[in-house]
Amino acid sequence: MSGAACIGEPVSWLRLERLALAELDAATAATVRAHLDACAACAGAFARIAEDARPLPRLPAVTVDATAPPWWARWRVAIGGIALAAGAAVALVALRPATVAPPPPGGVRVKGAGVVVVRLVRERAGVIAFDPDDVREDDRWKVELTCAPGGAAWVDVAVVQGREVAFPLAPQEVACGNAVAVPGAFRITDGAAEVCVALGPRAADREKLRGGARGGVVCRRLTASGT
Amino acid sequence: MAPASEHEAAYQRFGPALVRKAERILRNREDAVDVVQALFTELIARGAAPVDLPYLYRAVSNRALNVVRDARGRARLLERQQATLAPAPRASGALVVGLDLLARLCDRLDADHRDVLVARYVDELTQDEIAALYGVSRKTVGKRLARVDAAAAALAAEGA
Repeated sequence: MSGAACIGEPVSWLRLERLALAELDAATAATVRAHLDACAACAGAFARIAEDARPLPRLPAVTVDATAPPWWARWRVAIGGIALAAGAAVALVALRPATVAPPPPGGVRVKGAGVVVVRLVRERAGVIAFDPDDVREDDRWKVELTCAPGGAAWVDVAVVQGREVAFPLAPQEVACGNAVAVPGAFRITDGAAEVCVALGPRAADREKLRGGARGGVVCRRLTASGT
Repeated sequence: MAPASEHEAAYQRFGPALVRKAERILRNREDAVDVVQALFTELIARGAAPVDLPYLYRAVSNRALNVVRDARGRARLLERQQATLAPAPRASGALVVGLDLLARLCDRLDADHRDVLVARYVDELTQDEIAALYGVSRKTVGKRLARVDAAAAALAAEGA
């Protein structure tokens, strides 16, 4: 870390990056270069850029099925309607019809966050897929939320397989934004599953969730991949 | 709609600059790469129109700040932070915005002011550059910057 001070107004990092990319017009580039010749601090900053040879990881391939119906049409959304009916010591998922005004497509309303839209992200052998339909044991899963900045929602993820319900991530409050990744990733073993995302103004009560959550829950069914 | 190859080319061209920018905010490379890759996968998935570096700069700020604002993400960042990824400010007397201060200021500032905070004290943009980048007047930038400075001063006073 350099402690050198600029001789005047520092050349911004954006401008230095654009100089390195040869994106500046000739006059601006000349002005910046003249400053760098006279200013050790900014020359040092530019050197950090020029000398940064760290390789950039390959961008994961993205698969999007343009012919598929919108993801939200394939999610089953139930506000105050999902029931995780308890069995002897375990639970089953049962979805009830919504009894209140239907939520907007793909989202649930959460106090303090407004409409929250959920997206399930799967990484399979380096390929990213959004809201896929199937699962393999080597898949890595994440959940993304989109809601208006300024709000926040508590999120809990339940993976339901037959009579078993697992919670792969800790309940957590997530600040709203565009496609905010819920911290943490998880894997799903043992084949087909239903992934349910519980959203609310506070942490979901898992026992209540098992027995029939009252908050907004979005579920997606995944079939076992044949390959 | 831009083909994926255009965004992939943009990732190759602008990715290193964007990762460096995200590193200055998040103070670790792993999260910085995650933020940049997530942005490009989103652009590809949406079939978004081609975008330039200034747009991407703004988008990376938003996404990185989302990580900082998230309570669990913040705790993880504080554990992982690498000071060497954040060079000292070059302007004499400039506010030094470490990860902890950034996180605390994020709690007190709205999105517009957070943008100015990062643009001025992390990316070291001039007020004119900030005005151009966010499409607001220089006067507005000045007002927002004053609010940011006041919030930082208040935090410092509380800690004194």
